[in-house]
Amino acid sequence: MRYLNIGSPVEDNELIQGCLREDRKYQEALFQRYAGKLMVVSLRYARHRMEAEDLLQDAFIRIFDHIDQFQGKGSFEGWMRRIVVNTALKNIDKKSFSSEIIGLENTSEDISGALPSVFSQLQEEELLQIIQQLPDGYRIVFNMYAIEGYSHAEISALLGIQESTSRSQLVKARKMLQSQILEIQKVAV
Amino acid sequence: MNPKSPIDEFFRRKLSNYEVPPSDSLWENIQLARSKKSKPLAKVWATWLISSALILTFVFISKELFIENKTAENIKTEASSTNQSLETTKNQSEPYTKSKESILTATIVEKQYSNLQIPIARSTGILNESLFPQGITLPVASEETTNKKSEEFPFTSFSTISTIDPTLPHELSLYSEYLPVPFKKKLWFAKIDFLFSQDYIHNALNAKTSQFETYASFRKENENLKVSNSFMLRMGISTIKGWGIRSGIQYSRMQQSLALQTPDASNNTTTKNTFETIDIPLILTKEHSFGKLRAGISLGTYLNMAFNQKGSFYSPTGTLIEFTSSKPGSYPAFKNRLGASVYSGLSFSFPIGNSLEFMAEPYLRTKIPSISADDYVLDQKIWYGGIFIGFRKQIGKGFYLP
Repeated sequence: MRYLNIGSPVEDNELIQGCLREDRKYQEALFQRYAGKLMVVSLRYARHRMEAEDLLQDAFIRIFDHIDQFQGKGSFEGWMRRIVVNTALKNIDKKSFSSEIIGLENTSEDISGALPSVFSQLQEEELLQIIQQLPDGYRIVFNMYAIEGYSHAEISALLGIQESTSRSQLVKARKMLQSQILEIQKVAV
Repeated sequence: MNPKSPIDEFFRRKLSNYEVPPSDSLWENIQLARSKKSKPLAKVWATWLISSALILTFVFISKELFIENKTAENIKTEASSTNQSLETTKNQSEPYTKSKESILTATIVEKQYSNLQIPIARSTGILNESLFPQGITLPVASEETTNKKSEEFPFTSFSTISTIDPTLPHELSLYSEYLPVPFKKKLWFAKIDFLFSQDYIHNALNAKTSQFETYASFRKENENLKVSNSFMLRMGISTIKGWGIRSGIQYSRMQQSLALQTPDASNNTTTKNTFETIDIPLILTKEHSFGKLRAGISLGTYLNMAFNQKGSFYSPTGTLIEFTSSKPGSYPAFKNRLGASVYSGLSFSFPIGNSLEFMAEPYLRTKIPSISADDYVLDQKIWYGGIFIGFRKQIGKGFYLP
């Protein structure tokens, strides 16, 4: 076990220790390692790239400021992802949800079988653009539920909305995503 | 569990490991933002230092700024003109040892407000010339009252007093603590404390994880950090009623001499370790007089400015290592700053000379954050107890806040 000398920062744990000491080179190494992945999280929650960069900047500042709160339980990357998501949720306007729930009671989800072949032809960059075009409420609920894996109860608690609102937003988001992808197929044909 | 949707699965699979590099300037922006952003601790420091600086500056300049020499001259002039009356009064009253001006003013107030809490005021030493930095500003009484008082005390009257400094408003500022007057002004006193203490230190060492409990026991058995010395220079302002705020600087030096041996007893070493702390206290006090004795309660916080270490001990791996904080590359076992802690004490002071008091202050310093570095395997916490002994000196005369 080493106590005095710090070797090359290979492991996350060493990066964390370096960041705890406010060592600039460890902070930069952490940034270089995870900025790309976390940028994707930011892009999913933001409406455009500029907003995503601002969001990521705020998130990294929070990560460095509160890295002492990471207790080593679970994935460090997962902890950072949650900070990015929480940073994104911080500035959400609740009206994004309330203005979009009218008439959702009758919304039915008709996406159940295999996806059309056009889906497999889509690049990640295109998927991000499609997500960014969703209305705020749809985009946030879809990201939290479908990709981050939050339950509707958790989304309800985090966003301060009804669970039924979360469900209906998700259904609408899926339908809108599907229709947009099919639209792309039509244009391509 | 979330029901699986093909769209959800599709997006999750495609984006979970996807990476998009941010712009080249983002890292620089983060660094810039963090350097500009003041952390909560920095805010506390700034607030603390500004508060302390204000108090210290205020105390130092108060004499020059708020005490009018003209008033003192007026009092002296008045005293000279009533010299005859003064001698008469001196024989009738208690044997004051103050200056003539003191006798004059004290007698005036005591006689005319004898039904008030003058004994308390006198016992606290406020009935001296320092009470009248701005002149006595008693109201002008009616002519009838004036004549009556003049018969009883021919050397003076309300109107006489009020002419000591006729430029001042007719407000009962001097005894605003005791009189139901509409315009209260607090009379403040600035005092400086020189204190020395020998402290008892309670030292607690605990392993952060169970695998280092043996090492923690080893250090407990071999180290004996019990005593330190502290010196404090403290200044403050307080009201007649004893409410006050004090701040200054405290230096403490803990020393330990260790006869160390490795856990397997293969090596014996003697080492002297030193730990130094510099703290800024910010303390609220409430004091009360019991005759000449003045007792009070002090509560406040200490902000640690520096925690320096010099010495060596055995590391968890069994090697003798140096942890001296000023040496680059030394073992980072301790923090360099300890943050804020709680101070509580009981103060006792007794007058021994002109504006000078002997004082003793038993105290406790608790809630001191761990002195161990975050990544060190042991958690070492200390708290202090001791008795400050020293002197308290009043600076100048009383004054009014602007």
